[in-house]
Amino acid sequence: MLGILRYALAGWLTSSVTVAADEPVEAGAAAPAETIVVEGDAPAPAPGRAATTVSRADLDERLPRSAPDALRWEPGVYVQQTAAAQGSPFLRGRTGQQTMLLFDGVRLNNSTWRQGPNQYFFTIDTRTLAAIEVVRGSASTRWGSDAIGGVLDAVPRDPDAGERRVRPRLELRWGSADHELGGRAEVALAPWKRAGLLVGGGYRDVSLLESGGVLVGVDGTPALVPSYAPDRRTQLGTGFREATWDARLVQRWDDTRLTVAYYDYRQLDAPRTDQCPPAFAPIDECLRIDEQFHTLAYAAVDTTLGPWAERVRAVVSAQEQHERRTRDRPRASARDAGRDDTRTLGLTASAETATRALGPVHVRGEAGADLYTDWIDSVAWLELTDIGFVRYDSRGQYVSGSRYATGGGFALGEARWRELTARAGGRLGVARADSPADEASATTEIGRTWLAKAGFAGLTWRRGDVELLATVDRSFRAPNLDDLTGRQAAGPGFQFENAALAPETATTFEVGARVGHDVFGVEAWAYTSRVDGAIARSLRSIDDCPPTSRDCQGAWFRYQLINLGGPADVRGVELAGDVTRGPWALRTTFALARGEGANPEERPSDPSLPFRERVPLSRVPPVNGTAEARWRSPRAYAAAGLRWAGAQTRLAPSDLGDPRIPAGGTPGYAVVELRGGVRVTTAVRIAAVLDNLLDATYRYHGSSINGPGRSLVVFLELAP
Amino acid sequence: MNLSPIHRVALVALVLSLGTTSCKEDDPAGTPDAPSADADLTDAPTDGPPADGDPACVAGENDYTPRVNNSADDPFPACVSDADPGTYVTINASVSTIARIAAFEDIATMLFIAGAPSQQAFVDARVTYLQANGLESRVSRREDEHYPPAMNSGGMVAACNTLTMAEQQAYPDRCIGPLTLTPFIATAFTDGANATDPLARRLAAARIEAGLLHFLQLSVYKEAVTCKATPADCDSSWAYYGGGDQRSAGKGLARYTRGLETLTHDRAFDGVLAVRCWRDLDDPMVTTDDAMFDGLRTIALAQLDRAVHRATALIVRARLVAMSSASGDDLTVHWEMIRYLGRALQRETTARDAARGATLAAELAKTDATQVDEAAIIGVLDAVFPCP
Repeated sequence: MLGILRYALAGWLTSSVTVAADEPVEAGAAAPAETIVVEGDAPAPAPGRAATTVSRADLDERLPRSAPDALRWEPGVYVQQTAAAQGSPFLRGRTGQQTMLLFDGVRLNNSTWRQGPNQYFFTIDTRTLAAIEVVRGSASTRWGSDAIGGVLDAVPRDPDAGERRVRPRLELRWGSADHELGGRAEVALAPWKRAGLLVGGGYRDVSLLESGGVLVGVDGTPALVPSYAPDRRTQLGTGFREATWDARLVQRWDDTRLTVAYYDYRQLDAPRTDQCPPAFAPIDECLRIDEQFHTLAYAAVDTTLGPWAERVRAVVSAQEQHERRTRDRPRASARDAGRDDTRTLGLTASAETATRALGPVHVRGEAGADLYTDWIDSVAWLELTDIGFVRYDSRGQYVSGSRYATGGGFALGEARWRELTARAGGRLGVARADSPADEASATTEIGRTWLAKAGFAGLTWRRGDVELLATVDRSFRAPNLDDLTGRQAAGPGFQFENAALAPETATTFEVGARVGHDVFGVEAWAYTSRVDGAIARSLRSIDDCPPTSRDCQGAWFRYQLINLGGPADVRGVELAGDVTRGPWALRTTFALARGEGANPEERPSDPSLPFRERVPLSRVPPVNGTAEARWRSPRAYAAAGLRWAGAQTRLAPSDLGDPRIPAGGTPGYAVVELRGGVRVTTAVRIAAVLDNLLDATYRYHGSSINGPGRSLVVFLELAP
Repeated sequence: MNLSPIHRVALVALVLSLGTTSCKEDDPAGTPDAPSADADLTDAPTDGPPADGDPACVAGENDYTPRVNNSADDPFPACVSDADPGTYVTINASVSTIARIAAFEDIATMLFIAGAPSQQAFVDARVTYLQANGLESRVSRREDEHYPPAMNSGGMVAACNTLTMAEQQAYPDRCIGPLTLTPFIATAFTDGANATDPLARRLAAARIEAGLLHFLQLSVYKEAVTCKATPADCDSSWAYYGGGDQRSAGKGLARYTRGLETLTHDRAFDGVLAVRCWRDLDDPMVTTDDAMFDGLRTIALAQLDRAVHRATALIVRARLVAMSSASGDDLTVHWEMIRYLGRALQRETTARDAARGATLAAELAKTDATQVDEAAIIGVLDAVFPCP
């Protein structure tokens, strides 16, 4: 109960324009077993599950470079970066298509998200957030397709409500490792009675990122990417520019709240580091994401319609994901370019009952439905820059005119009797993919529909500060348009489509124990997740390439996604603990995951050749953990943090051809940082992070870039 | 602040509209294809049957000779190449280089014709050249393995492509791909696409042919060398010679060679098999006898290199013969091809015979085709590259 109130208070305070000395939520604190009700928040993702929260106070103290970066201190979360302007969180060894990303409960996943890491969580501006909810483990019952590894819900900050004030706020940030310079300006006001409006905009310019040095793989060979400047520390193919603006209006009437919000993220000139330049290519060749835009507009109504619908929420949303990329080959006076636009319309509705007593049992439930529809526009062309010639391919990375819809209906229930709480739920999901044929590229027409069922059952026993939990969950992911129609140069090689893919289904068993006390908290989780029909990359021969695709034929390696014949398993353990005594707090996390699946390659006809039936899954993180120590007073704080990971030498077949992974595997690391902050006046706050104190050379497994070398980040906030 | 409902709506709309202004760059307009009528095609001369080759040209004492008693009489132990001397046994199921030689053949069909290709043909051929993971991607990184490796500013061995252009300038021979071939071929494509004069287009096509053949010659050897560290490169060496075809056929460099002299083609294929044989014997997971297998590797590389140089010399020689009976534009076009492809033979000529190397260099430096002494160059080639 205390946790609920403390979190609600933090949420309220951070939604106020003045960022006063917040009562911080304990970083990494377990989400309470009961539903968290936070003013202006979407419903809590999954009570009774392994969940943590990155609070606004955490963000203000840690000064993360991005939304993915903000998750590095959470148990069971590992962040891969293909570029400095990208970041993909791994939840229990899974990322991208197999994790659900939400913004205020609105689904961000769309049908063009590719297999493996992607950059889309980076398009959330942390400066607009009150918190990031992290739920580890499958959750398709509530959230639908893709929620296999876990769920991330970015919870936005709310404007003040009801007070007639106009309050500006300005923040500035500078970082030495990449000469980052930027900031945000915002104003909160109460334009009319019981309404709050928060309008803001931000910008930053980030230059080349300096690391601790050249990363060497486990076998002693320098990694193929990135390329370095002559100082052998500054990484080429990094840097970007970013502009954001947002507006959030909250209007209240009695028990009803209307939210109308708009968030716009524009990233410009962001090289894809492993392709800027590609391994072995000329040093001035570069694949750059010229435009990575994400626009989200939505209207949400939260109200109550009586005890059977104590909390009702309906949301209509519109999104656009825009990506424009260019591969420059100056020495050939050539430029390969492409543009993909994915427009999504979303409709969701849900209702939660009040908790009702049926004798000694307290019950409540939730039901809802959701539907998201994508429309795709995709083009690709070649420019001969010296003669001004432009030739369009017959299709882009996808086929223009493609559509995709995913949605379903769900029902959840909870019954509490004494120390026991039982939860269960089910979802019937549907997905539909339509894509036209393209004769010139030998692309076949697609019109497919899938029905999928998801469900879960969980039991929690709680007495005093001790809680024991167990859950079994069945989740799913339907193939999306990237799987079915996409053709692209992926990290390990050229990937082409497979129109015959089937959904993958995940069955997860997890058990956990939590001890929550005012002074300390400990939680431990163990899980096993089995995916049947897991979609994975399989090496293909030239003969398998689409007939007209010379890109495929000429690639070193070429892959096609397939449903594995056998199961893919990820098993792991997660631990987290914290101790708070007076102004001091200690926190530590630990995560171990091991992933293995059926070998996607065919057994060779020559029996003398070695072949393993089961091989490691791609880019499962190594053992890793964190430790933090903090001292805090009402006006100042000081902290130290340690992030560490072991070496990852368990490599999937596709990892062996991925230039982002050094030969032999990615070495382990330990990175220490110091943090400090002071509220100089009620209007002025200064914070700083001295990152990588020991100037270690390190890389998160699967990343193209090394982490920053020893560097300083300085932050200034002015909020009169 | 008290606002009327209309003003409230307007304020919200204004705020939200601030972000809706698109900053997206527009897609460029596509360039329509030019009419194809500007091609100036003339009948291609009919090639005669290939020569058999000089019977006096016997294999080297230590050469791999799979066609003789299935290699039983040469110093190479039994290996995968012995069973069928007409077949190269690949290490990997897929050899991506095959697609690049297929692209070379497409370009040849469009540009290496008797008459003047159209301007559009140069654009189309260039698009083929620029395909992702295609010919250009390899031309731009090609190094001449006959020269010592380049070094970076830290004094460590480095691939040419990891160096800046200024650093590459210190290794012009080693870094021939990025420094010489890439701009040379790119400029020729541009010149051809822009040329309204048929002769100018024929000259551009000749330069492209010379540049790409030079690239193929370098690549056969380069891949054979790097096969030591990357076994799959042996497959690439085979594919760069014959486009993935076996001995009885051949695309790319093999097509040219087979059309000129059977002996040289067979010796070149023997050289490819020699490298494969060494690779089969020198299994890094098994063997520890580096000295013996290094010796076999040296023999195989020399055998292959000798044959490929002879093949290049035959191509240049054939053009010189044609040039000696040509006049006008044909004379000029032949010389354009010869003076650039001839560069591929300069290093080896000088290494074998300094005086003849100087003769070759002096002739290749001539820009006026009418001043060229074809016989002198032929004499150099026959003396320096008599046998494969």
